[in-house]
Amino acid sequence: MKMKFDFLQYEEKFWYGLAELVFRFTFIGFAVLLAIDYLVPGFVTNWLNPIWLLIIAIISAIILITKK
Amino acid sequence: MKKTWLKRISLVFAAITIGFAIWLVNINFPSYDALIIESELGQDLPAISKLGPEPRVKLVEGYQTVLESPIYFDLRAMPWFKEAQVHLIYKEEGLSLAGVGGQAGPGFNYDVKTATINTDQEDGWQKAVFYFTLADVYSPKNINRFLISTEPTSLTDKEGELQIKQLKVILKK
Repeated sequence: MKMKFDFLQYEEKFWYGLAELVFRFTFIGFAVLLAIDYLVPGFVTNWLNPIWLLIIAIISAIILITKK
Repeated sequence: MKKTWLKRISLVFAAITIGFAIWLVNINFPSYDALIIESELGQDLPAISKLGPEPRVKLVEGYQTVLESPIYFDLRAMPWFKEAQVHLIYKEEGLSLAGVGGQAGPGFNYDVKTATINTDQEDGWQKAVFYFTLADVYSPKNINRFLISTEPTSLTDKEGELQIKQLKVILKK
């Protein structure tokens, strides 16, 4: 029974760590792409929409807040 | 164990980020010095807009039909591209292609040019190529506006149309 509890705790920590990682990469990525596109309009947004990174960052931030 | 997996995932994310950065730089600074931007007729793309305004053009069986002149499209080109070649494949059905012009200044200020190269293709389609120096085209926030002008094929033709099959812009450094 104790082992099962440890396993669940391990799983939870892993997903929390992953959400933290995803948040860092996507949020910093979004901020960098936004800055580049502000300086040179179209450099990023001609090819992709960086808002998707922000959406992923928000979802991971919600996971981080609720799991804390 | 947990940290090892997170470190591995972190490395994968870092590799994806580096790969993405290389792709983005390569697409904006093409190694072959030319960037081809092709319009999807009737659809707004981030790099090139659809032809407009709407009442003057309509999409019929995948072709853009021009009913009235002038019509416009916007191109978002990076400032390091010095030259733009506008390639048009069209068919004259009562309206002929008079020229394409780049916006030279704010407001209705266009420098309309006739085609530098005009070749006949099969089934009555023609291909016209127009050359523009982007330094001469007004470009607020890297957006260049181009005008397509038509004229009646003959004075007796009151109603006609010009069909456009392909609109492609080749940007060169």
